[in-house]
Amino acid sequence: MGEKTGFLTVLLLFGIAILPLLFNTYNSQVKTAKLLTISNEMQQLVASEGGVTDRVKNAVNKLKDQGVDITFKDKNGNTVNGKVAVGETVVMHYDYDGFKTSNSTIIMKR
Amino acid sequence: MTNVFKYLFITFIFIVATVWVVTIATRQSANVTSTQEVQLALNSAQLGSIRESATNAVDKKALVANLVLEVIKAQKEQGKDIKIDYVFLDKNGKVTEVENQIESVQFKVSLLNDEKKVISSSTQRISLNKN
Repeated sequence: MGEKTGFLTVLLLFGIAILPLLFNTYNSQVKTAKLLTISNEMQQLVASEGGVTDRVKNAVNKLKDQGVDITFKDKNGNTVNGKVAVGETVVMHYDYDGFKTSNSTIIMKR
Repeated sequence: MTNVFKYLFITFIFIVATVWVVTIATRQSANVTSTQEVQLALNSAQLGSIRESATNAVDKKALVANLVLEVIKAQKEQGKDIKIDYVFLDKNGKVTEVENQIESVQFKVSLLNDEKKVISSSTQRISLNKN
């Protein structure tokens, strides 16, 4: 095999098998970073709003269009809707294309 | 034929480098997010304990206990050993040990690998509300 054929073989192999793999890896890295940032900011938003208010719902709907599913539950696993009493915990679950994370906050706002 | 191996070798190095960088980046962003998450939780825990004690002084032991608890709860890289370093700061940002001068706490969460070497660390400063 000549210099050129060898190079072309590897280039073809690279294009078919390895490039998609690398793209996939990079893609998941970007998605993970995005999901983590969203989870952090949603936690802050819920804490400062004092529950699942209209503003939170707007943000959730906007994120839903981008493929991020967010659910709010209390400690017993019931879905939370509207303002929450002081001292209650809100647990948030996030799902973005199969990547999942969760966090929680204690409502301190009256 | 040797050319194929030459280029394959270069490709291999390229792949390893990319996957390595992505792994480090993911781990680091998970650590940073976990560390930032502690802020809200610690603030509410601290507010509760200040109200309970009815003084303005910070109970150092309770604060450290809460800090460690919240860091562990928030940590997303599960199954890794972590190391937590912390200092208490007064209102000028100087390190202090006096309980009624403590205005904020700065802590560093380090993820350790199997050989107990630090592979990722993230630092966060949290001011403690006294109102």
